Amino acid sequence: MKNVAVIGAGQTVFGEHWDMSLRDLALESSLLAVADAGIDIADIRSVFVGNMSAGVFAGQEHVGAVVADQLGLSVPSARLEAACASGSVAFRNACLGVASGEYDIALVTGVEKMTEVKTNDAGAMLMAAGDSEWESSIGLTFAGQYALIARAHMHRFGTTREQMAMVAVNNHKNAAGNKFAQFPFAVSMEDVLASPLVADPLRLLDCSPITDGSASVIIASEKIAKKTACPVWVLASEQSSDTLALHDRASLTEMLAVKSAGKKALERSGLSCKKIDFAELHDCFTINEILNLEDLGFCEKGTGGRFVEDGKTDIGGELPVNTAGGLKAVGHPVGATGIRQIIDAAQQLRRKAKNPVNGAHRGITLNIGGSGATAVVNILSNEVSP
Amino acid sequence: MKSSVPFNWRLRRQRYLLAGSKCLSCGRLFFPARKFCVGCHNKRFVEFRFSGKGVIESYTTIYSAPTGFAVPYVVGIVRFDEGPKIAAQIITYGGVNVGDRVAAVFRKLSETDRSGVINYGLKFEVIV
Repeated sequence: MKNVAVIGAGQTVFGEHWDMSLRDLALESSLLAVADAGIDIADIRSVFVGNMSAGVFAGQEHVGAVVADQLGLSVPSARLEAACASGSVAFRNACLGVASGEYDIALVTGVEKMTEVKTNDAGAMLMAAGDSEWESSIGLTFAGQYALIARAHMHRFGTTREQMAMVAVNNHKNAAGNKFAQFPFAVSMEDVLASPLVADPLRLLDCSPITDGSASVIIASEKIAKKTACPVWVLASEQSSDTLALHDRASLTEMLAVKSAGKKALERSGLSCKKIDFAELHDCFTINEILNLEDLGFCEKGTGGRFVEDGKTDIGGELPVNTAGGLKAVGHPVGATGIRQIIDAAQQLRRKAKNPVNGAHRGITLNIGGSGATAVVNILSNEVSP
Repeated sequence: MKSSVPFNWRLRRQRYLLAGSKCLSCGRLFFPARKFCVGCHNKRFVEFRFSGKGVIESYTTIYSAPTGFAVPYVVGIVRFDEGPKIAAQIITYGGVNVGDRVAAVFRKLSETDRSGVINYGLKFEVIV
């Protein structure tokens, strides 16, 4: 596969945008990415949109056309959907499109407008990403699914309530001062443990929020990227699937799609976990960051909680995680999250991050759809080959 | 949440009779029923009635729920004695633990929505 790179990035503030529509959000981040890349809109050869559910959240389908229309473009444009992994799936397909030689420049915009419906309704809409016949129909929620995973992990490996809370504490600390974050402030362990129960053992501050937001990147061929100031190279972008329903998995405490996509990404990039300098993980619920660390191979199965407790995911630790705040504190506009992860990783590699990881050359991003039915792992670097 | 009359009607044998499926080629059992064997890629199945007996593999009490469900309620993953697992609401009598034995019961799943449909289906009761 030919080399491709991220040459521009832009995002809206993540939060509640009562004065901005789906199209306003998508336009803002797209224009910021175009400006950051130093290209003209007319240079865009194709548009890939990551979006989970604009139809039910905002009454708007045909989202590929919405974004192309806002930019005045007449190029191929389509929405890709894979629940909370929609953004990364759009990113991966844009990379494949550019790597194929068909397009030399592509725009990827991940967008979700979620706050126009009531919170309970938003929860029900999100649950459409699970198994409609056997999960949402019996009242199982996404927090409930991850609570089932958390309980099984605690029961089997002795993972503690405090270790899960530490994930939220870390990610909120990292988000403090992040002007794009929905919750740019620290929370304490006591705050997390005293927050209301959502799905026992998970509490409100274990959960990522309902968010409006959009994030965009420009992908370019090697020829074009090499003419730009600080391209971020895509060393690997891999995707795998697992059963749609959580109950169909042999184990509740591991995600086979994450293990498979992670292994393929490391193989393709020729790297091992030790060569990865930082990670953007999918902390939709705190327990998931713990699972992610294990399933990507950064620690042994069952020891993710201890890995966090020992400070290894802190800035300056063995593997700094979610250095801008993650899904928990930056917010989780589902279709935008995968692109936001790419942007925060790119900011590290371009030496523009608020919480810099000294000397970082390689970062990994993991974006998960549903309770693990889709996983995308990207490896990015500021060097064209590792 | 999807809850049309045909949606519920299609699930009637599975929900009310615990009718899963058995692959005629490799013998693998499925609940919920599948029509294509993901193990051996065979398409020939017979109906297989599950006993409804099983064990709690994990559980949670849900406090924030979609419209139509009265909180709090317990949802668990039940492993049938025959092997497959299913997510379902658990009726408890003062508590539940991983490893508890449960039995399937027929209960109302959710309140009526605008269509007026009442959803009945599968729950599990902790065997005291």
